[in-house]
Amino acid sequence: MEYLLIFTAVAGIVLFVAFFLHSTREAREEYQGTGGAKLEPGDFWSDLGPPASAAVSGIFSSEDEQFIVSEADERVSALFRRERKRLALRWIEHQKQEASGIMSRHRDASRRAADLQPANEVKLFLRYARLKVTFEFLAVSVWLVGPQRLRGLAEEANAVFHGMQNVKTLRGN
Amino acid sequence: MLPADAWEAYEDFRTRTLSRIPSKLERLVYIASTRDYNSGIYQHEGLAGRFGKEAAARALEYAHGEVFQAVSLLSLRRVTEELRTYMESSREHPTAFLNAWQKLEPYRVAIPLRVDPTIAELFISNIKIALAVLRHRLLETPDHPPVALPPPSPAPRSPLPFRN
Repeated sequence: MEYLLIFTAVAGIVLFVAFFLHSTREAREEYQGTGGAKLEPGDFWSDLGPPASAAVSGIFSSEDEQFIVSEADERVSALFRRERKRLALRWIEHQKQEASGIMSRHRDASRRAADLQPANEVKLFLRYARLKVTFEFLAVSVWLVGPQRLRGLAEEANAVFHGMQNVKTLRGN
Repeated sequence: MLPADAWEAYEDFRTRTLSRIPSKLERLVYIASTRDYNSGIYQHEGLAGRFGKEAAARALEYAHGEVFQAVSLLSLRRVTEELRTYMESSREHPTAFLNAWQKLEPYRVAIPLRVDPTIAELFISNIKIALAVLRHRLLETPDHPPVALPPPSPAPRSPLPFRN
């Protein structure tokens, strides 16, 4: 009996992780399919300018850190670390709020929807869950080691975030 | 997207005015200086004379957003170099320049009205750090003068070109 329970639990976790990873990969592919929100010369923004996601490369840049280290001044380095940490945490909070906003609007729309698609709902929920976990992990990591070593994770979170927006767009919400 | 007349004004402004300003930061400060502090409306007599006030204002707002985006997303090394170039072209004493910029933070007026707050914060943060780097370099210079403020300039001196 115990073996059956353990087997079921392990199978459930494996399936969940597989679905989760699949969902994340799809999100990234969709994001890349839209051009990865890169800003081209001549592009202009509709309302608030380039999105906060464009700031990722600056906030999480290790190139900037190398430049500051080359200046060899402890006060400048301390200012740099403090500023980047503050900005990174602010960015994470901003993206979390945006994601919550998307989910909230989506829930409202879902309540009125006649043609609810369970597969899309599950996909969106998993992306949201993954995003929440990633952002929490990212926030803790920023506190511990600073943002410069976390650019890959931040960009991945960004990709999942844009994937979420795309699911929303595809459903016309 | 800009309407045709504003786009034409923007192209004219970009080729005839912006292209003559060498650094991105100087371009940003120049465009920001065409914006009225009270109303937030951009004004440029030469451009308005050719394309109309509204088209000129929209063209300047567009150019402002574009240049701000370019400066905000520069690496810290580039921002520091841009700021150094701007400081040198201002012909102000470096100590006076750094004192004013660090205390008064005049670069905040260079932020467009419609901009994502995170991008604006990145811009402010980068300028703050670049100023600290330039201050450090100045102090490292063996013959740097005392840190006291020099007397104010007899007349306003701006590195920015005239408006045409």
